Amino acid sequence: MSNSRLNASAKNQGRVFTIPGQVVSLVVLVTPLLVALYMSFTDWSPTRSSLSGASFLGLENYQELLIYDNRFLQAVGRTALLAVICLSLEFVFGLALATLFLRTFRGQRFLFSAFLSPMMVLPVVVGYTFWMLFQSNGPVNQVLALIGVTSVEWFRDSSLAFLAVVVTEVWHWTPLFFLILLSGLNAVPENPIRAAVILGASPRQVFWKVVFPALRPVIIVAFVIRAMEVIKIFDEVFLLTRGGPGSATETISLYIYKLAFNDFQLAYGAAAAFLVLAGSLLMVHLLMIPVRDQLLDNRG
Amino acid sequence: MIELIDLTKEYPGSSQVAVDKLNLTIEKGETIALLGPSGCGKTSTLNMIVGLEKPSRGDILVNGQSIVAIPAEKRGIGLVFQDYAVFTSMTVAGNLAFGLVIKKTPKKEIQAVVNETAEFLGLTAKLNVKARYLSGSELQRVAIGRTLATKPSILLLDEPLSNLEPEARLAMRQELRRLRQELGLTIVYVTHDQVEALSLADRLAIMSYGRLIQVEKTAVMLEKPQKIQVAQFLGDPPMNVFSGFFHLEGGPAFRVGAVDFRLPLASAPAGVKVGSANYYYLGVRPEDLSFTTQDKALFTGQVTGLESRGYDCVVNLSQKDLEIKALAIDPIPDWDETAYLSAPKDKFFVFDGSGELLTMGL
Amino acid sequence: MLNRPLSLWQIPLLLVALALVLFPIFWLVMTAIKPPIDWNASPAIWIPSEPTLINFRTLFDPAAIRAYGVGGVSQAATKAVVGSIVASVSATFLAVALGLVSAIGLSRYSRTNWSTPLVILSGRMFPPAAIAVPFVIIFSLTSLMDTYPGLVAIYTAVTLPFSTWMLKSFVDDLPREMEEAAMLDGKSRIMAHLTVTVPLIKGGLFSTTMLVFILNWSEYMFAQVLSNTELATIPVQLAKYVTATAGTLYGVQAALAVLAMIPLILGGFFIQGHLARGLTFGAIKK
Repeated sequence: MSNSRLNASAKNQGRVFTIPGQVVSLVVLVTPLLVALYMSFTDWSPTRSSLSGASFLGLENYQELLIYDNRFLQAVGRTALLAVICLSLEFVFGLALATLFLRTFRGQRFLFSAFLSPMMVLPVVVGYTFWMLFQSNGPVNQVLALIGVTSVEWFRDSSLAFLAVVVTEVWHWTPLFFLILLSGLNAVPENPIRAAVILGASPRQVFWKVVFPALRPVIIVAFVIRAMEVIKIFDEVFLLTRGGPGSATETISLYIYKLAFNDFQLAYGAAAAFLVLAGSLLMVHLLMIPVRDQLLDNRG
Repeated sequence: MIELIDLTKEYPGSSQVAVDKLNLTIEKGETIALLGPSGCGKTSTLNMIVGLEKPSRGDILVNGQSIVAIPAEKRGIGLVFQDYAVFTSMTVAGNLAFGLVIKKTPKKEIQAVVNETAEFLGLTAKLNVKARYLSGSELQRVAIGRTLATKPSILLLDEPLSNLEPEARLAMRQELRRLRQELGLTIVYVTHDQVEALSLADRLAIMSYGRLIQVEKTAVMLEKPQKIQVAQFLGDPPMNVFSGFFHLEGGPAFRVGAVDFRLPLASAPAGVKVGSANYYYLGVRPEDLSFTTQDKALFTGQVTGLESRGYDCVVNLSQKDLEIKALAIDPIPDWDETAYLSAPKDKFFVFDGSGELLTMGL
Repeated sequence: MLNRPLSLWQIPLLLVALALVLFPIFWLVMTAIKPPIDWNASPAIWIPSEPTLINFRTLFDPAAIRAYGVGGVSQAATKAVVGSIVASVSATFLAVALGLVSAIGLSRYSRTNWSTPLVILSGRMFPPAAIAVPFVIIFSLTSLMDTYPGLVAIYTAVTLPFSTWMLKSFVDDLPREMEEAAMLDGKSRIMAHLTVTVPLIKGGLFSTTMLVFILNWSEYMFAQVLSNTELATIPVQLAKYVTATAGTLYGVQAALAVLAMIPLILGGFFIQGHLARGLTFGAIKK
């Protein structure tokens, strides 16, 4: 990244460019996060005193969350389960669709745009639309009735509500996998494929031995990015099920939202958020290790 | 033995024929270079021989049997790609073993072949290195080794040296020569670099616009180009070729536009028709031209270009529209100086209007 | 990769996938043009008997909304639409302008290493509910709650790392010799970047602007937490209709949802070429 032709003073002058962004980030992002971090070690609540007057608890909030708060632990487990199911399905569907788009056919450009459109829909709108679709007199049940399944109450049954969330998420975000995997597949060099064919590899072997390994960094990028989003999932679930029935679809974000803005346990909610952040950072870091050389290479 | 019979390749949507009725016989154990500018159909020809592309018409025989209907993997022909196409996510050993693993060869045998191949190509120390971390010439050797491991009888190489640095190129040239000698393989390779072709091949096949122009033993080809395209392609710099006609005004000469090229003859050259109605091509190699004095000059011109190559200098001489290249070692003429050129009479080539060699030496 | 036409069995597969992808959008649009009598018919009506634009009119007419008399919803969507436009446009402008300056600085004048993207990404990993908490505290102390400047500040802060990183990936693609040549011609550093760098990345700049706009336009939780009586955005309004009426304003809600969706679908179409890069934070270039 350094350039010998730029002398040191030019570099220092140039560094001025990064200052506005840093100041803004510091004032509007870092400061609030530091406040929240401090808060997470206290018992502060807006219904009581000022922040400085709150008593310092140390790691008590974190201890409570990790050991005693079943609702939190369940939300974490549920979010993880949701992530695993959704990401697997999105990957399989996205890959299948991407391989179809490796073929050439008429209207390909139009269909490409059409398949990306779900991503462009606002999460709130997605939540609302699927809420309509899953109504007991809605079109999903109408179709199910055709195959003899009648009066399914999607939002009254825990597993069905969870399933509805999965369907919604998969519909909304499969296009992202499709887009990323397709650009990855198109970037796989052709000659190694030809070489493998000459050496006798079947289409299946070509895919698993040549294409897939070349695609691996791209797949990991797709998983990391989607995992980050699923961990935060809120809008769609909030409009679809509000976390119900009971807490059957309550994800981490929903739980933190309820803690902070329904129960006003701001300090406790902040502690939960930092736990989630630490967990996600660790996960992303571990996932990226095997491909980080490749990714940095690509960046040139 | 490979026989290409009227081999033709047309791509849909392209008006130009990529490979046009190619007829070529390649002997067993021979190294032949397909030489030609890029886009002349060399790579399409290789792809058809190996089985990556189907010919539009014509046939390919190996030892008398047509292989056109046989899938690529069963032809026993190996291809090394210009960009190597090594499997970067595998180790060197994984690459070398690939073809055998696919064929479900017993593990022990694979191990033995991999070790042998690695040793042969000097890759033993790199066997467990991921191919991603190899240098250009190592990748090249892996690509060759991956093919050799499957024991092909014919090896095709697509521009094998063009992506290598100069030193690696020299080393790889030796490597390829050794490969040919020790394994007795039939090698067909494609290149646009004549030095490479001349140093390696038994025979050259020169292609242009999808057609085979001339096939000849390497030495003969240089000595006696049969076609004007060959003359204009081989040599560094290539032969000076002019189109014009012979006349006798003021002694025998070849007129190009408004310029006369005097000939070192007493009368008109044998076997050619004199007069502006009969067009010919006159060729003379830069290295056969020498600087001389005004009275002995066949061609007089002003120095309009000098390109030093270290050991010699390419001199451009111009008279009106006509330009000619000659080589000077010492003394080297100055810019804009008037210089005089001559050449012995046996160094002239005459091609007829269709580009066929008519006579060599006047 | 090896151009081949679709196999016969793949065609129905593709069509079924297309139907599944488009059906929810189809349903939403159909609901938006259903007359009130069709809204919640049982069994559900797929294609309205008499398509109408009445729902869109109702949306902007307080009296008409009140006439439905459900759940005490009396607010027309006018304020929310204006609010969404004001907040999204100003926050997008700020985030892209600041991001552009930082991107040039990061790309040209400082070292980035492996941890830089991780730090920037971590901003996007933090659950928004948790980011909202400290903002609520600080804003209530500075009376920024329920105001547009407050919302714009949050939006700018959370999208700035994204716009910086994305724009940096475009600046990185440019050879720096071009700017250096301009500087040797006697242009100041700032002018060199303004007249050379910026025009060369205008495609990237447009895509980044569009993506940041999409993020801001779609945002729900911050707006929901900050808003009380003064502040409104389309997602908040939409959620409010759903909450207050348990969804019984079907057609009107769908009309608002369709209005909210149109700019994003169009915008997304224009920046398709840069979508992969934007959504993967520059990890994938094409």
